[in-house]
Amino acid sequence: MAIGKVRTGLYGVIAEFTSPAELTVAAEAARDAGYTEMDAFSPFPIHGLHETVGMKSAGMSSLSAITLAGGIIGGIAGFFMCWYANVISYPLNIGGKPLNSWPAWIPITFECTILLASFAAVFGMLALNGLPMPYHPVFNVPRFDQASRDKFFLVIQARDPKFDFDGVWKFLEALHPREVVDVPW
Amino acid sequence: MTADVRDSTTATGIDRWRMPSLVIGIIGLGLSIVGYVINPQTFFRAWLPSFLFWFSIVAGSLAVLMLQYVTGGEWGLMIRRPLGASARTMLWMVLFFIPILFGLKEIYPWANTARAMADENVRQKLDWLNWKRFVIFAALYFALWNLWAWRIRILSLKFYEDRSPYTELSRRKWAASGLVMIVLTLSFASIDWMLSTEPTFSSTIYGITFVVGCSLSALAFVTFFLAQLAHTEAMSGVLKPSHLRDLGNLMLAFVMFYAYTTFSEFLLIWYANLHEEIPHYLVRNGGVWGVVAFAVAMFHFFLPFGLLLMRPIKDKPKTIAIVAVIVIVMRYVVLYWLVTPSWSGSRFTWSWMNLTSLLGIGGIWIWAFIGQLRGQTIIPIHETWVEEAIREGALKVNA
Repeated sequence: MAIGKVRTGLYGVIAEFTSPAELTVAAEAARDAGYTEMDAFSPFPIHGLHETVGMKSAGMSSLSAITLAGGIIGGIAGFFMCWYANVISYPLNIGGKPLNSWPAWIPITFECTILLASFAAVFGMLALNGLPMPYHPVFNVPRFDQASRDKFFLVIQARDPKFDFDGVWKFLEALHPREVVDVPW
Repeated sequence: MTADVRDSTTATGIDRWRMPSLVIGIIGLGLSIVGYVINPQTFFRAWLPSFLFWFSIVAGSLAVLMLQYVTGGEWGLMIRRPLGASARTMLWMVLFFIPILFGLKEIYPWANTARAMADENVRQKLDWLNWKRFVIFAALYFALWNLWAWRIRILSLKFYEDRSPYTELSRRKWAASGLVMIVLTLSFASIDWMLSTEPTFSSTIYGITFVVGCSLSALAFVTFFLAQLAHTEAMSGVLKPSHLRDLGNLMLAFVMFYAYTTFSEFLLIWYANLHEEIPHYLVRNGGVWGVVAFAVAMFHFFLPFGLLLMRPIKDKPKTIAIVAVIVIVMRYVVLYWLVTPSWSGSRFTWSWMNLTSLLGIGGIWIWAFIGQLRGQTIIPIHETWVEEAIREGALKVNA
């Protein structure tokens, strides 16, 4: 989120792997070695990988709470809208039914629940991810575009308390990656 | 692979449930026969909801099994064998259906011709609602369900022998056509067996509601079954949280689908407020039945819906088993609530024969189900992609 501020120096060290299994093994090894500030990149989701690199597992993240809140607000708002329109604002006798004909409000209530829950999930996700993010240091790695094709990357960041350039380099080399590259900011 | 992992019933210890189930079943059926002697009408009217409850698990198993063979996917890996075993007990369901044929006059108002002729609304339906067509169609349904259940079994065994992709393709074709077959036949069966207890009522969404309900019954049952096996030696390292999560998600989908179809039916009938349709709900929403209706909304939808949204609950065998039990219990409650008021009106009834027939059919059925599971592994280790998964280490089997 450092807009307008030019950062220099080293972002981290990245290793390239050729299979999801290798990436998973590497991430687990890095976690076991005590690294905490790392990130993994893959063309497709790999089950369990986000927990390994230190992210909260789904269901424990604040995104669930945001989505739930969106759903509850949407449900209440949808029901209130129908109730207010039919009971307070413009009461009209339709087929002799009571003004508060709640079964008829249910579809609207349901749709509004889903709508606001989805909005909360999408925009909450973008906010928590920090997206859109037009620049990221890993784009400096020449082969990084392969991460959206068939290659798998693990980066250990320089801000990791255990980070020491030679040590991390050797550690990543030992995992038999295709190559290890340093990532400038 | 150790020898005792091969036979799931001994390796998982479920074999020890076989005899107690049989004993409970025989006692239950015995007491039901005593009930028949005392009061045949109560016996028949208790038998139908009990039969429908266990039948819904068996029919649903066949439907979900065929769905798995068409789509593939790891969600069904752990439940193929239990679903198949359950689907093959359809032969027993033929037996349990026979009492209904003897009690047509007690169960279905249209079977009493003099009374049916008196009501114009029912009289016009008698070309469809008569015992000859009822029996012929029931025989047809059972023939089709058994044919598909056993044909898929034979193809699976053949595949075990020849490992030919053509055999697998043939099984997939049977499963795909079977899905069409079972949705149609179950719709018709639900109209014949359940809806026609109230021949003045009609509902176009009734059939699909029953199909969805059957699938939900089956999913809840196999999920409960798997969760019980989770801590046995045969399943350690094989059954992963993601398997239970997949089943939990499917249950969630069917809980919502069921709520969707039932509420759609209610909403349209409530809105239209037509003379022929509303008695169905007026009876079922008043007095004790109204309390049952509220319980159905709460425990057949809201509670399992809320619980199944939470991943920690879906991932653990203990907690998902509790959700499955809630769903299974509510499946019986909802079937009882749909069928019984057709006879008793707004007066709530419950007879001890409801319990004995439920335990009687259930005991025998569980005995038959475990019998069908005998002599095979719980996971279908010979399927091609399973072998691949084991070889690549994506799936670990106790070696």
